[in-house]
Amino acid sequence: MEAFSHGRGDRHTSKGMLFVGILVLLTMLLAACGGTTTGGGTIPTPNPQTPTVAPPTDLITPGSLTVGSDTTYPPQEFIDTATGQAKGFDVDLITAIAQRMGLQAKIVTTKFDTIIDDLVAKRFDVVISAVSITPERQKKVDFVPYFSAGESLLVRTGNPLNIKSTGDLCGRNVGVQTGTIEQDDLKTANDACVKAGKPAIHVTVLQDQTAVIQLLANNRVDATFQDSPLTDYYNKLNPGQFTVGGSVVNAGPEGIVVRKGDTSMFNAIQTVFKQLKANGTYHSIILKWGLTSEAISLIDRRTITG
Amino acid sequence: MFRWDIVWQFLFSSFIFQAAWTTLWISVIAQSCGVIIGLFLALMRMSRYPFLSWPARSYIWFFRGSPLLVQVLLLWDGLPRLAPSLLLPGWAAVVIAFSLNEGAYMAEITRAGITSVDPGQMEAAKSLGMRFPLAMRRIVLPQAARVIVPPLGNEFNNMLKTTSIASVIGLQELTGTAEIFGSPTFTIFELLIVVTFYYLLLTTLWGYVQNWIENRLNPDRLVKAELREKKSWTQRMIGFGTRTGGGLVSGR
Repeated sequence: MEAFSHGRGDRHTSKGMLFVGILVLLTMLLAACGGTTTGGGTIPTPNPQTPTVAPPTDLITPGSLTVGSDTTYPPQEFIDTATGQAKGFDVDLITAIAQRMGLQAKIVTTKFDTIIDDLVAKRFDVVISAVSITPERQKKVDFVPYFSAGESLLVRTGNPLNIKSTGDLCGRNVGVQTGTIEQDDLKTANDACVKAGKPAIHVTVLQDQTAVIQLLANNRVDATFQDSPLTDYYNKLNPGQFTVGGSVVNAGPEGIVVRKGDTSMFNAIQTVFKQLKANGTYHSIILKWGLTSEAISLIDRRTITG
Repeated sequence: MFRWDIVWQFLFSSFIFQAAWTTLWISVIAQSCGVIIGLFLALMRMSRYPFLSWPARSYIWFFRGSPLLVQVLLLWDGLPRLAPSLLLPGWAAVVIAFSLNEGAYMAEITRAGITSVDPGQMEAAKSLGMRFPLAMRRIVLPQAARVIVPPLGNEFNNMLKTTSIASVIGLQELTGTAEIFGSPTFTIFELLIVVTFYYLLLTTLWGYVQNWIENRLNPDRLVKAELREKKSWTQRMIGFGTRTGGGLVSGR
């Protein structure tokens, strides 16, 4: 009986389905073409500044400062979910620096663990991505210090395991993002645990800081270890969910990363940064993102570079 | 706590549309290149001349034997180390790696298809005076296509989802976009729900297209008895459903 129901009607339904499918695809295509490009767009310039420094000559795209950044690290660099553009403290700062060179900052979203290699391979002109200055990294690249971020632990509310420092992590499960200075510090802390005859730290290393915090939310780890501005930003967005374990430690400089030997870029950025500090622009960006305790003074900078 | 508001905010967001489009075009280009590479590799692999068959064998051995993720990273990070001028943009590294990798799999599928055609067909064509390329094109490949297309559809379905590997080099296809747009509010899970919906949408639409292609290649497609045997789209996509669906039939 059923066999005879395959008449024209059925064919029509099938064709109709295909038609609907193609229609949906076309709609998506149109929407895609109409949409703004994600991430890689140019940052709009709110107050155009007269350039004070000649731009370096070896730019990847003339007229633009191509900036590599892992835009998944609020409040320093992240994507504005309404506009798709990069924003954050680092983004505002590098945009201001680019303006003073007469350039447009173009933020290229990238992954943190390969960010320095990608800079060396000339995928970007500079990197600003909450990169801590370490001797190991200084062998590969040069830094212009612009910020001083500490590290802090995020733990469950009430801190039931009484985790106050990395010394309390022996035998605990800890989450950390790959390639970060915190990952190195956990290694050091683990060596100390083993030396003292205590159980080792079980470290889970993931590519994304957001995924790292998710580990804590799902009780897979007892603590996560990251830059203190990020810890504070998370607690501000999700008050009461977690708490900071102990105090901020290892406060150290973060730098704008420049290729070794790229002296024209290094000098230009350093000169502009000094100007931005002197005229108050730096301070106003610090205030905008509520990062007063992380601002670096000129004295700090001298000790770092000198 | 699950943030439904985030899911609704992004379900019809232009950024996600853009990402779905990126996923789609990468898949289509890589699969098309893979089919072409696979055809030539299969012919080389079946050749009786070792200087043709051995390069094909080694190629297939390498690309089927190493992880696609590693191949992408080799093209992205490894090539510029060898020669700084070989600095591929992300999309190019991904499209080339996916195409080369898919070529190896398509080679084996195509070889199976060609082998399934009775050798007598080639002999008959040659005895009619056709040379090898013409006989292959007119006689053997059209028959092989019926065997090749179902696994080809499977491969493309896979390709749509494999593009998520591109997120490791920061490319903003569906999965990478979920990571980037989920991080400001620490809601990656919600974004992953959204992109899962889009992956399902793309694979479902592809299911229709595949049905349509298979019917086009079916020489008996106008015979009602054959229609009765057709699986409904639910059977094809999720393994159960009525047998009376009829599929997508293209009449003349």
